Amino acid sequence: MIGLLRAEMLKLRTVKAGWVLVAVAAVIAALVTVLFVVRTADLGASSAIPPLGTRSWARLMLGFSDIGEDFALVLGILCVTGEYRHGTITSTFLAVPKRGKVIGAKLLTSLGAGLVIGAVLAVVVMGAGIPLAVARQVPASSVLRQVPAVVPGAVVATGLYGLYGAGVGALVRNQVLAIASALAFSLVGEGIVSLLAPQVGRWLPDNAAAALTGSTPGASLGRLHLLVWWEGGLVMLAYGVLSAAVGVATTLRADVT
Amino acid sequence: MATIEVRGLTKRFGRVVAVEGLSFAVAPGRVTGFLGPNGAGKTTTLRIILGLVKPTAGTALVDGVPYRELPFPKRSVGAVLEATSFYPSRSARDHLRVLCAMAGLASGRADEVLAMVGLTDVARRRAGGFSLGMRQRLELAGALLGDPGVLVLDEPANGLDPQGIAWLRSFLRWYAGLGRAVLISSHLLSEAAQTVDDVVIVAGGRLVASAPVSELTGRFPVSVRIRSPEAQRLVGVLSAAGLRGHYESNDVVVAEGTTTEAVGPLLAANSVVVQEMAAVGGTLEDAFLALTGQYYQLANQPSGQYQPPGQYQPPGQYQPPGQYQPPGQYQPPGQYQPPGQLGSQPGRDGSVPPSGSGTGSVGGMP
Repeated sequence: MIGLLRAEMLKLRTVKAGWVLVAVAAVIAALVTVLFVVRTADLGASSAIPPLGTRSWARLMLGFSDIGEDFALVLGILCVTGEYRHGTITSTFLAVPKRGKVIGAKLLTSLGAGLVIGAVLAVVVMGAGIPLAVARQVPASSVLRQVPAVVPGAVVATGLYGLYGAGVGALVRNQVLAIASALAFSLVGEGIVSLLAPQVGRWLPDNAAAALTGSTPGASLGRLHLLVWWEGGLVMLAYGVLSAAVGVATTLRADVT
Repeated sequence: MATIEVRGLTKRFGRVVAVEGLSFAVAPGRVTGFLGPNGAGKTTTLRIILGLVKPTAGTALVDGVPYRELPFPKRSVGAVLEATSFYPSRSARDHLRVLCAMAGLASGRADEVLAMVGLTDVARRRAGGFSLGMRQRLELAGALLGDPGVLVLDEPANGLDPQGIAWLRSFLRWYAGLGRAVLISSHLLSEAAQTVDDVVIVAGGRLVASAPVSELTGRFPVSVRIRSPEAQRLVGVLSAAGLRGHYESNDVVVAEGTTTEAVGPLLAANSVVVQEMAAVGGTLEDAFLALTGQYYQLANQPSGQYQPPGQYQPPGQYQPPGQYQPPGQYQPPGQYQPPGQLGSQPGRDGSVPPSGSGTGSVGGMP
């Protein structure tokens, strides 16, 4: 299993798309953070955003560390469906005929990749946001004090999104279909369900992950009663593992022709 | 002990029967050709042997166990299935290093097999930019990583230029010479005839024949075509010896069911002037066409009439596995050389048997 994990990590490292995803996520996180800090200073007290330097403002800014969640989701999907798309699944299953083992390694690798994306984005957000805030007379300590409450959760949530992505990929082998439906559900579908049926919505991946971060960036989410952080984490884990298990039992058992 | 054993294999895709009741064995130390027309069920059978496709019925064993239960599959079997299975932006070397990690092999093996197939110079180039021939050789490198006792290749000659085919042929002969089992599928008979020792012929998903090439070609009578200015006297001599024949033209006679070895001395003893003499038929291609033709004919008749030829009993000259050379000590039969330079003999070290040894009993081509 250790060799298999090493192989999966090597696969990810030697695939261009992985690095592109991390880079794009980092650029977006940096832009959003800079814009957020600069604009709150400009907007003043009249806006919906909490005043610059307050506790909730600091948490909101640090919460951008979870912007990589959907990127981790895509990376997890690529990790499984890419093998089918490029035909490498044949040589993979020839080397390791026990297919459940292959998917197990992919779940763990995608979790790891998600954690890396989360950590990179946390560094980017803090690296861009804190100096800008300090330049606007916000004491660094007031922001740093909120880091333990937000950043570890955001990193873990991003990691679990990676694992969830691998599970989705195991369930839906078609790459385009898997990415399109997972992103549409994450970005649009979950919001609609949350609005119409909040009791169901809180169990959905995005809101389960939000429970982990403790930040509720979307305005509509304010009305949603989130799960406790560890409940959110377990729900995310369950999404990934269960979809992978169903995938192994159904689509992945099919003949490779 | 056979290294690959297929017993009563049947595979249906919906209503389509791809393979039906197929049984054969592949022996170590020999190159076995898995031959049949396109759509005969060759690829499906190979994928069942490799655990990629589940059979509807029957078993396929490698070293006595199903592929999925092999403790170290890459060390038991190397397979070349199709020439497109690379991540395009990954380098050839990284592709092999990934396979090494998955198979639990030291990553240094990647460089060794790249040298074996002559891809060292392009090891760090992205596999997506490789030509079809280079892809085939990279696939072969991947198959050789685990130094397997069994090599399975599906239509390996596809996409190779003549030099590449000659190189591959001598490589496979050399590999079988180490005591390994080599199974190659092909629909190109003339190509396979020069490479294989044994043949397994399938048509319509069923076994048609399974035998050494020499035995198979020997089953079909050879004719001898003779050109002589004294054709009439020639026919008299043949008839007196109990041979049947017919005129092809005024000065050409075809003696049926005999060999040049028999006719030559006969004509010399009777002082018949001969201007030209050649064996006709007796090639693997003739045997194949005769057998698959027979199959198609019989397939249209009520079932139960067709008796497949007797099972082939492998000769007992196998080398025990203990004599295998460990990886790293290979002396591959001549590095692949780019076209233009390769005018020399394909196998220059002594380990490669003379070419065409599998068809040694076959007479000259018509």
